Amino acid sequence: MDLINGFITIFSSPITMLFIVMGSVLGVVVGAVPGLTASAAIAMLVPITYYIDPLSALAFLYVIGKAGRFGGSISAILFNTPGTTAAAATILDGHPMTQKGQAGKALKTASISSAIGDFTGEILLICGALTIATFTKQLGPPEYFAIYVCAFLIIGSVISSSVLKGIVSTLFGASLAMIGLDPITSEPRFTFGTIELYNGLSLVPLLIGLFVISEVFTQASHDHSKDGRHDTIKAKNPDDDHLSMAEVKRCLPFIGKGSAIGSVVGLLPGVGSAVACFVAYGEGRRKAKNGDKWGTGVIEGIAAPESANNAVSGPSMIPLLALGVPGSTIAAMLLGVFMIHGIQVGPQIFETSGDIVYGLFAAGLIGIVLYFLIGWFGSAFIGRQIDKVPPIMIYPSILAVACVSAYTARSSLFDVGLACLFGVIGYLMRVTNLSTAAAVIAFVLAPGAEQALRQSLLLSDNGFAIFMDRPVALAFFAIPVFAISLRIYSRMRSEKTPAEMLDTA
Amino acid sequence: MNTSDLSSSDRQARKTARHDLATGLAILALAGFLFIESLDIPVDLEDAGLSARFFPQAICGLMAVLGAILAFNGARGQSAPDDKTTFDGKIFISKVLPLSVLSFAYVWLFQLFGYTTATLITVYIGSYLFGVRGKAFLLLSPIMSLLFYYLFFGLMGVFEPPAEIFDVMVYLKNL
Repeated sequence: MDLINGFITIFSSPITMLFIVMGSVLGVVVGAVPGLTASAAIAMLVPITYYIDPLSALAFLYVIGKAGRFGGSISAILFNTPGTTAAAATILDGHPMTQKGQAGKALKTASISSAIGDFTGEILLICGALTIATFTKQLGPPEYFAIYVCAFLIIGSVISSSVLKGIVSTLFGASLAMIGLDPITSEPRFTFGTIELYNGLSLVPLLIGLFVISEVFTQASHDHSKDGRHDTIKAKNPDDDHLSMAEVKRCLPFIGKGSAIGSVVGLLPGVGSAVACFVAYGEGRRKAKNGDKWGTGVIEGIAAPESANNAVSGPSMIPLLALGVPGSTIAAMLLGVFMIHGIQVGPQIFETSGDIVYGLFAAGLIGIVLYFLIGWFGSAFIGRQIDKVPPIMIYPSILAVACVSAYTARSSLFDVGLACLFGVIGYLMRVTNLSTAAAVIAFVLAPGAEQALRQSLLLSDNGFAIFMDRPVALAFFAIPVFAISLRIYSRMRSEKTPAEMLDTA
Repeated sequence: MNTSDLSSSDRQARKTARHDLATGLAILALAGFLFIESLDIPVDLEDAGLSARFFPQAICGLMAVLGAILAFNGARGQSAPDDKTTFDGKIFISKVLPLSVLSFAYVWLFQLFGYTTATLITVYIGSYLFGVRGKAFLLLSPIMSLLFYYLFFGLMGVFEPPAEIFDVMVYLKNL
């Protein structure tokens, strides 16, 4: 019933509907441009949300995230370059199909698989978030602190190729969150006498610097002189551009399995679409009757990873809505938008701002239908148009728009300077394999963690021993210990790279 | 794996270890600096619970320990198996540094000459640094500057700060 109200809210507001349509188109286009990710686009667009109503703002960014994950498959299939890391596994069978003149079939497979995967994840979000929120309402500050620690360590340990660097990245993000007035005593911390820092670092310049400006610097360091137009191989017969019902049926088991894998991966904080797509591809290939042909251009090899990477989207929002703890960069940015509009995120959100949450769910479902239609009928056209614009013409404009965007949030040139500074820091983090995503998530999580710890100790008569009396808190402390031990153990057992693991799968 | 592959992966591992040493030392220095700064955070000793210093100092301490481990492993030539850093000093100086200087110059130009002049100059120089030439070079900057001006200051109604020296848009509006 609440979801139906969400649909009514959306359809009765033309502005919100317009933002959902714009989000779908923009997401597919941005996702299809190699190097530009949905996260970067959302980071640039967060300041715009100051100027629109909360539901339109959240729906716009949420749909960009969903459509962007699908958009990455367009350049993966057509140009052998994944638009996003989530589409890295789609290349394996997607581009060989293009070389065989079956680009149309491959793009349609990606569209339908992404939409089904995303729909599965969205249903899990709608059913799961409220159920978990009912349970998490009973949790107190000690349990919340344990959840924050769990999120910090899980994100830090899985987000980077090195556990050490992942955790260092989260600590760096947490240290940035310490700038500003102390939340309880209001004493200034790390402000260096600068008045602009008294309110703490704003999320917007941090996002723009770490995700957008650093990407421009990364692109500048690449040699674009060899970038040329890609030859399109035309379909040899009409069937090569179409996806028949029999072929859809053939893909369904892989889409189902991919959706399940993506949904589970989405629930884990920090483990994104890039992991889900490779796990689904490896699992699909292992179980497929034609597994030996995967990698040569089979539709099942597109269906499995594409359904998995989009199924991540919905469940990755569950920790945010049920606990107020973002498990992914897009969720962290959406938390920023909730905060901009003064909405308290956590288990109470279903009661205090239920109309917005169910409106957001409805927007997600509408967005899936829209990007499916765009993908099914227009992805080849979008791909051709993107191929016509050389990347060297895109990035100087992005640098300018990023700077103006950073200014827009608080009309502050100080924020523009900060965004530029974080651009350099973000570039250095990228080339040394420190994770900018982990830093941003930790930046958002740290104030809540500090508050939860300090409240816990105020409640306690025995100091830190309060955690020993809380079994739920102990369970959350144990999860990352188990996860990190497992990762270290598996690394000790086998030093195989993901590519080698795929080969042997 | 043949000998050339082995030596190439070996070179990459050594390069990553070198970068890890530098990264670890940088993290260690940052943690040390922040820890010293944290000593200036006022503390009320009569307050119950944790002081305002506890969390920042705990983060600095952990960062210092992990930074030291990273640097120590790097010094021993050890790095995580899948960890491949891509930092290249020459590329950083020749391509990234000019662009980052340009982005800081943009802030300064914005303050002195307002949005239009600053964006026009920045996109021109940025396009040149990216290798845009010919007609595209001439047209890209004015088109993008005006488009963004219309989007942000026109459509969204963002406050446009007055330029300290001269703003071409004010001059054009007064014509």
